[in-house]
Amino acid sequence: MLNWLRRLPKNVLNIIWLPFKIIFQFTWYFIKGKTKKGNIVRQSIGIVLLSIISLLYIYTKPANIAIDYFNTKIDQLSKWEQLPFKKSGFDQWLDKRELSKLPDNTFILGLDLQGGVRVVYDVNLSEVSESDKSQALDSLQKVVTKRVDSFGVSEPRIYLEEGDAIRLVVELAGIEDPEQAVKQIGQTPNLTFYQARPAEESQKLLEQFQTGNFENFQNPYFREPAILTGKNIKTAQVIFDPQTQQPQVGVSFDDEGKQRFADFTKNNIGEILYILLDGEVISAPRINQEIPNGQATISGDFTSTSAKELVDGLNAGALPVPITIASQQTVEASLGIESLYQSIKAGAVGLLLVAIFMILCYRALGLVAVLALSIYSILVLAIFNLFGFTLTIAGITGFIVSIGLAVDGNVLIFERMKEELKSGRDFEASAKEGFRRAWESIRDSQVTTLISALILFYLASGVVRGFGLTLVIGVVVSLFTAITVSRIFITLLGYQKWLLETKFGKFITLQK
Amino acid sequence: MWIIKYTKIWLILGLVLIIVSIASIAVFGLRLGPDFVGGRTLDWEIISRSDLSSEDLKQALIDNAQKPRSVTKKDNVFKIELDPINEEEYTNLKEAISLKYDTEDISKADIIKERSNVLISSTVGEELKNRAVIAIIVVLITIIIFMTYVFRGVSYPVPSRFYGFTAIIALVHDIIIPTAIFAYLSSRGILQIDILFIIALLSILGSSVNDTIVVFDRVRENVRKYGGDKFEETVGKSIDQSLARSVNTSLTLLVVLGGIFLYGGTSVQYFALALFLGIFFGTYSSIFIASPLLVVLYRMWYKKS
Repeated sequence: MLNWLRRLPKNVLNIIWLPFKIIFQFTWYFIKGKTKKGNIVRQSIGIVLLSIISLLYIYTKPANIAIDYFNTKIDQLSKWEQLPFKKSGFDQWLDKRELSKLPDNTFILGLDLQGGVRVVYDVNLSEVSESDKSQALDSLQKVVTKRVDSFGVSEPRIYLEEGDAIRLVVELAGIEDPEQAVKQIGQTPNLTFYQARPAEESQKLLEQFQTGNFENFQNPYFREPAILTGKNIKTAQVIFDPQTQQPQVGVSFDDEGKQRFADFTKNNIGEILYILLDGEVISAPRINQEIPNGQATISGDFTSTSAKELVDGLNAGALPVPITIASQQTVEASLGIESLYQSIKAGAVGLLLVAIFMILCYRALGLVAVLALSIYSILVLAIFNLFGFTLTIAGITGFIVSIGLAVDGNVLIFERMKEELKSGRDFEASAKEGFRRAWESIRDSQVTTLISALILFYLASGVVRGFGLTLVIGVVVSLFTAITVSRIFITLLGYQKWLLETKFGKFITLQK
Repeated sequence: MWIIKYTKIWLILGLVLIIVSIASIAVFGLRLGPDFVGGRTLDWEIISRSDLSSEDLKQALIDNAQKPRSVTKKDNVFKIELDPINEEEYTNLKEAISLKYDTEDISKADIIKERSNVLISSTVGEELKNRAVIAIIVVLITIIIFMTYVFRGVSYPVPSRFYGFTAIIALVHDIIIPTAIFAYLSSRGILQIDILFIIALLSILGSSVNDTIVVFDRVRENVRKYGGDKFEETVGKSIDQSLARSVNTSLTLLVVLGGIFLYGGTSVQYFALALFLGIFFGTYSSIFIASPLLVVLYRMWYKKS
């Protein structure tokens, strides 16, 4: 799967990695090293910086307000331009008079939280030969994309999902009339074949209508009824003339179409055929010979692009492969928002309860745990935003559950610390020892969660996948916060001798 | 220590619980929701008739040749479960119902406010069911392998595979009991087994092993420290030492889940319940099933050799 990565020259890889490397080394510089007094301050600053940067990724508004405020100040400063003590660099900066704003990252909400429609189609490939499959799927996707584009949805997602069977997924977020949209995607557009009237006949009819005489009204350009409609077309594809290599369009009809087309072409050699898509002429080929076998070829001044366009138009009549709805999910926008608020409320209540519980249970250490959890939450949400993961109800639930798991790490450390303190060590030694001993348990237990989360992510699709993904991110980040944030802040707490003397900080020695 | 003293009682209690659970799953059966059997689930608000009862609507649907699996009403919104009817049938049905509750002052298109509409075809349901089963099996196997790997170094005084085996028994216990409770609830028509329940089960798998690992980690450490001579005592001591952690961790998780259960939407409520049960029994089993079982296995092993 990652073979293409290996094929890249090494220096390209290096360039791709460079930004990650810089960020990693920057972070690592701040948090590495033993928890000695000298390092601790630097490490704490690193953690705080990391959280602030992450926070700005989640919530840009305050930063942007500050930038706005600053910009107006610069505007006022510009009055200084008249002053004599200009410096060239400062001058240039004043000319711009603006700080650029942070990009406004908002969370991508899933359909269940935003409202919209998601339709999964079964693609019936049984009639398509093995070699044509990818082409058929490609044009299917194109045809559906074209139809969806007409709905004016801001960011439609149309993709193929390959599991036990190949499925086509269409996701339309925030659409006004989902029912109509679903109907139109599956609908057969109106593709019709008409016989053109000879020029003089058209002329005569047009003249008659111009005088206001609409008696025996007929279409002046072609004869009705239609010879064929889109449902008679089996497939259309671009072919190349074997002699000239000129692109042509090959059309094959179903049995009914074959019969009718054969009859028609037999009697009308030399006539013009109009092909209309939703009332618009997309092609007007001349009939050169009788076509008895249902395999017509439209030749002309095609470029490969224009041939492809016509093929797409013809295929719009008949989707290249039949599709049927396998599953569909429509959620009204207001219901989505309701679910969103409910999830946020549940999460907030959960977090609050955990915070209260931890502080009641472990006092000052509990406060450290709450701090670690807040940083944990910020980091996870920032990762969500940074990589553009879609938030769904299941995803948010996964996140809330992962908070519980992150607490586990802290509890393990604290309980170990307690033991060490009871055995008579001082705070600093206990913290060190407690951390060292708890680490093995934390690692082992998180790895099991990681295993199930990864399997969930790979095996499942849709809802389950979102849950697995958040759990994977949650576990990785909670391992990170356990070794960095919790450790650093516990050590930092150890230096606050005055705090450890108070009732709030002395909880451990109070027991037994 | 008192836990190790009464190993037989705990193990018999566990065995009884498992047997009762299996029996109740067999008796009540798991009522699978549309996620696994296919179906069309609708949330409808009928604007023109706020006094309409779910029985009325059910009758109206039956009159239109669509016998619903269930119709419930909550805060003016009807939750309707139908067979997986296709788009055309659905449109016709909706139109017919709109016509039935037509009034002068509301345009026909606005009579039914469709809040959500979820269709899952039977084939997709079938597929999801298979995938869920595969996921559970794969997770189980991987966890067994992982457990054996983690405890590979500890083959004294009991072989390392005993740890893995014990953890699996505890795991079965933790999964069977919530499943039995859900079987009962589903037979009462309170809920249906959906994909979220499977996710909950998989999460329980993880957390159950988690708890057991923490206790066994302690056993491993204490065996290294004090030797394996008084194994029963060592296990008892390890439980004592990890008890606070086990209880506190699961309490925090239970608190979070309680929050979701009380304030989350209906879809995640039962998910929270399943996890709640799983985590509760997971912690219970790591103390009252896994550790006593390890001691019993040790005694049998000791006698044999």
